[in-house]
Amino acid sequence: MTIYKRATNIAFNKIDNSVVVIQLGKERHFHELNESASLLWESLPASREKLIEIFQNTYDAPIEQIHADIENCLQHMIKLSLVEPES
Amino acid sequence: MNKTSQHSSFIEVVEVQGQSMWPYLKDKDLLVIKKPPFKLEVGNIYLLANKKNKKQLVHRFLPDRSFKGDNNFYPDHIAFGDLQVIGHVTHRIHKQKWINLHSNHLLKLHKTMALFSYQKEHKKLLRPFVYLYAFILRYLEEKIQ
Repeated sequence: MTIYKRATNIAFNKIDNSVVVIQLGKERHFHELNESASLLWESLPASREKLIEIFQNTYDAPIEQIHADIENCLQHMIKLSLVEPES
Repeated sequence: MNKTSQHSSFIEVVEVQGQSMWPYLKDKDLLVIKKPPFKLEVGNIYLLANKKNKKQLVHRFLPDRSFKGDNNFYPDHIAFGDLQVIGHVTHRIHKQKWINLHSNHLLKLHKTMALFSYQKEHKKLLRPFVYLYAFILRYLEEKIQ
């Protein structure tokens, strides 16, 4: 089972209900996460299945929609090097 | 002092360049800035921009409603001309941790720092004590949070 975890060398904080993530190191970037991305971020480290369960308990949305949103969000965060999958 | 990264709707991140707030803020410190609206409060630290050349400063708000670097002898309106307040410094990033610069229990210490900073313009003998106070304040914030 793949566990998704936050990348190292990151500083984050919750401000006004949304998480702000700063990537440290030579090239600094920062990201302001929306509500659902913030929920996903705060739930890490977690498996995809655990994330689906958390989202189902939080949002009144069709399961297919939840699957798609989590997949999109995870892929986007991996692409930005915010999240790392660990098998 | 200049920007190092992109900005969002309500905050931006800047890197300290220079020694004007030393030792409370050090060269290369990373700061989180809240954009307006916010209230000006004595002791708090703000991001300022020179209206003409856009050069940016991160300095403290003093009891006489001027701004000054803790380590500078003169207030900004004398040293740098017309300035505009463009942000409020809310956090410092230290070892992946967000240090809140305005936690309630340290607010009075920041106000006292503003009083020292204000006095320093007139009483240069206070300088070593102000350095020590600023150093302790920085250390306390890192340890408490």
